[in-house]
Amino acid sequence: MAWSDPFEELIPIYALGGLTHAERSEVRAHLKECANCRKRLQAEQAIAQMLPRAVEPVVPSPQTKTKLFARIDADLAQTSAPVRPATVPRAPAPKARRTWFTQPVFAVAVLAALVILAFGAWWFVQNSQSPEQRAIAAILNDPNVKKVTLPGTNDAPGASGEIYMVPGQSQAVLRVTGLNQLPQDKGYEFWFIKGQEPPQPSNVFTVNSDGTMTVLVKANDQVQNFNAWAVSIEPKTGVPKPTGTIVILGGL
Amino acid sequence: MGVETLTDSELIARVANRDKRALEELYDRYAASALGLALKMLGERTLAEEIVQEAYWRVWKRAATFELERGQFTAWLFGIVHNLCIDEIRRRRARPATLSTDSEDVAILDLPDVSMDVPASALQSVTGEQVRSALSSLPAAQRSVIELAYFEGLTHQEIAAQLNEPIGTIHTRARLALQKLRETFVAIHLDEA
Repeated sequence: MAWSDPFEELIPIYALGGLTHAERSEVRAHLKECANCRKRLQAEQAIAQMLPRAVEPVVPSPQTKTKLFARIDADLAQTSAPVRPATVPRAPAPKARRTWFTQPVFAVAVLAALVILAFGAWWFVQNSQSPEQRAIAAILNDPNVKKVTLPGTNDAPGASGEIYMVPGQSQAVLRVTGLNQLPQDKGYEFWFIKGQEPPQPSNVFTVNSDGTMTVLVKANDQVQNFNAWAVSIEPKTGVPKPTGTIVILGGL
Repeated sequence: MGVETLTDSELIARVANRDKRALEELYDRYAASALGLALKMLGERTLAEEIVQEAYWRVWKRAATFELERGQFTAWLFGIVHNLCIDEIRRRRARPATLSTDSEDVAILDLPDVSMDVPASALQSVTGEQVRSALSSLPAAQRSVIELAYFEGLTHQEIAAQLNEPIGTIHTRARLALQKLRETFVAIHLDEA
């Protein structure tokens, strides 16, 4: 078959993911200019996107879901500002009388402005992750991460916690669930415990409306050197040793 | 109303507004299919699970950029998984870095729109078993191009080298394979209509 457009030959293999990074970039640049190839690609993509259906599903381990939602809890805790909602399909608007702002030049200018705004918003989202969020993500994605489950005490039987730690690090990720929201002057304080030594205080935190929270907790020693961890209800300013109700307690 | 009754489109609109329960519902619906794809491509369970986790994290962070009228959520999700797996396969082969950047994720451009030549309804009704059957009915030479490119992450040059064929032949086989699959899917839809 003779190809009228040299890029057209690459469209099917592009749809299958068979181009190198550099070739893919070239095709993408061409697609911006060529409506014919765009249409061709959409048709080929529609078929290529059917291929995952040929694969038998495999249920992920519970840990994968736990790690994902620990990241999301941390993200929710850090950023409360709503993001622009997805574009919802709506019925076509009735044709309006053609005025200066419906002219193609104006449309192009508006489109360019929207692209710049969208890029700015994307850049902001990508770069607005706090150091704590990045640290949490790094721990959860570390191949050596270890998890210890911490049960709720008799005072909070519905509560539980998980500590994610990487050997050699003095900080870890704590994820709690099933905790009640507290009065404004109270908080949950996290404790590192080593043998018979006094518990070492760490963060004071609150929980989301669904009783969950994911925080980065820091110790003055490597986390794996502690053999127990606890959460107690304390004044929001934190205290040097536990005084309130212990709601989560567990260890190795 | 619980999220269980919502459509994918309604759920992704909620995810764009940072509704964690909506994402959890999408996870419960499609994570197993996403893991099946990643596992087939990578052959390594731990890595495949990390890919699924990363794909859903990207859905969470970028739901607001997903335009519902341009395509199905599953096409977007599986496209992200597919791209991440290809990057991982090529990284492991120590080829020049092709790590996915944001612009390399499944672009809206890549999602089929309503003007494509196969009605969306014709594709939606096709089951996994029918896709497997359609693949197995392809001529072996065409099927191997699909397998090597889509599921094993080889580039067209690598496929040509492996099969000892000119690169133009690989392009032709890719085109014919997709064309045959399209015809089969449309025939299935017409039979069932």
